[in-house]
Amino acid sequence: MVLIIREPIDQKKIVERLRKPSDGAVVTFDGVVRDHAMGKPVCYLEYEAYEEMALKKMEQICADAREKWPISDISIVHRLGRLDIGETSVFIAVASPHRRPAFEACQYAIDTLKKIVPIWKKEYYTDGAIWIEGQS
Amino acid sequence: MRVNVRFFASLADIVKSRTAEVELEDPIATVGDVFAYFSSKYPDLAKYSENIMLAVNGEFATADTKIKSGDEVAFLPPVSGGVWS
Repeated sequence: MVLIIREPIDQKKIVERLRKPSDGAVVTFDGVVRDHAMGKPVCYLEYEAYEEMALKKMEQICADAREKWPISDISIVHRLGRLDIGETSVFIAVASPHRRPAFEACQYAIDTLKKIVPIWKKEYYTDGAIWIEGQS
Repeated sequence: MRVNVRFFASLADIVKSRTAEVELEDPIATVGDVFAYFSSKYPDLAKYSENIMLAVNGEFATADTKIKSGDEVAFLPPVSGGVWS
C-alpha cells in the first residue's frame, strides 16, 4: 500500500494492517522531522510532491522490493504540507516470515525513496527558509 | 504543438508558477527544447541545467526525449536525498 496524505501518519494503523501471524517480523522506518540541519535550528518543514509521479515511484519501490526479497507486505506512507519538529514525514513498514528480508527491504525502500521519489522539503529557520535539494 | 509544463520546489519559485503551457513550432521537439525555452525566459533556471531531473507524463526522461502534443513535461529539482549517517 502506498499513500500520500496531508494529515498526521497513523503508524499503529499501518502496522496493524500488515501484521499477520504468518510473518515473524515487521520492520518499520519512521522518518522524523529533525530540529536542526547543518548546525542550524529548524523551526518546521514543508513538503511538496509531484503527486502522480511520486505515487507511481512509491509503487515501483514496493514492486521491486517484493521481487528482490521474500517479503509478505510493504507499506509506504508520505506526508505533505507543513510538519512540525518531531512529526513523522514518512513511514515504511515491511512484513516477512523472517527478519532479514524485512530489514533489507525496508532499508532499500527508504534509500530508494530518497533518490527517485519526487518529494521536496523546505526548511524554515528563524531567519528564512531554503529548499533542500540534492544531498543534505 | 502544445505541451503542459510543471515546476516544483525551487524551480516553481524561479518561474513564480507551478504550471505553464507552451506552444512549440518544431514538430519534433524534445524535453531539452522545452527547458531551453524556459531558461531563456528565466535565466536563473539555466543554473539548474546540470542537476535537474526531467519527466514526461510522470516518467523520468532525458533532454533528448521526444515529446508530442498534450504531453506533460515536468522539471524536478534533485530530491532531498538525506544522509545515511
